Amino acid sequence: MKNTLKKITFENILLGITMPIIGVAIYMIFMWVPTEQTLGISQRIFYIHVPSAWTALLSVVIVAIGSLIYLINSNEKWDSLAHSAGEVGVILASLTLLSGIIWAKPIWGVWWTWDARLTTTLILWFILVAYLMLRSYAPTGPQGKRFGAILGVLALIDAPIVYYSTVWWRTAHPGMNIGPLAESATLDSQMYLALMVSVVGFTLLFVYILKERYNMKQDEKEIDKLFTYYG
Amino acid sequence: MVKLIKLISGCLLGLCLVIWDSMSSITVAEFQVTSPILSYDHQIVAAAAANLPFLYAAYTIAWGIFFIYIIILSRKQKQIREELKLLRSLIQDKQIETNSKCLK
Repeated sequence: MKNTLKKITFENILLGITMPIIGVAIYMIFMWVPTEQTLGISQRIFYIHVPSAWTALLSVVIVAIGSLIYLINSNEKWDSLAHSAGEVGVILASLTLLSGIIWAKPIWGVWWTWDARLTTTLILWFILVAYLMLRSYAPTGPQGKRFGAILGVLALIDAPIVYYSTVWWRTAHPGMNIGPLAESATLDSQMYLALMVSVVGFTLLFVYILKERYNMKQDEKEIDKLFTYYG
Repeated sequence: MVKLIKLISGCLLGLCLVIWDSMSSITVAEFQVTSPILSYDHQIVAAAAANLPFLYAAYTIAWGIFFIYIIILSRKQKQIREELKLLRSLIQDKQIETNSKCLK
């Protein structure tokens, strides 16, 4: 009984909640939600594109918060959180760009265009990659972590530019369907619900992967400490 | 982590089955579209079928990326935990050895 209770961790509970939600989201996307009249079946890419973009922006915010707190109090836990979020953020930003490229071809007829939303998202991806490269090549110890933290805080500047790009500039990218800046009733109620379920599923999956990566980072640090103390 | 991989592979398999099912039904509709008697519904289905590979590609790539990343993460985690376990046992042995030397 004790062993069973020990196995019930935060990560396992999170995984237990996440997987059914993702299953429901997949069912809704492919079986339940209606096909959009003008964009056709490829509009369904939207249900994976928007959640991945949302979680990518969320990871940038976590990188910036973690980096800022690390710069203030030098607590390594915040640095680990920022580094882990940066790594997961690169995956999600790549997913956003790739799903966007695949969506663009049948709808716009081109794989890529230098549209404001696409360009700012690509810049965000480059910033995240630069952050990870800096973390890998910078000197080990607090100096390298501080360099990374400064870049992590600077990465946050691009996040609102990505978000407001469709409002500030005339873009080929569709406008916002959800959120405070969205035009009212632009989405069918079924589409809206499917999108929300997908966003929740993706967010929970993001939290789970981030937690696992963070735990791994802590283990790596413990190994480093043991090597330092005992040679 | 192993459980997660199993669940994700289950989801992927389910997804593939759903897409396979929808592809097969649309192929039938496409065949009908090539006939001279075209209905408006068939034209819509044909347009949808033309974009189906893009939908398939997007979801395959998305779940593929997650799947590969999680596999890499779980392998690395396993390796780190084994290394940590080994280091701890080595340190424990070293401490026991030092203590016994001190007692002597």
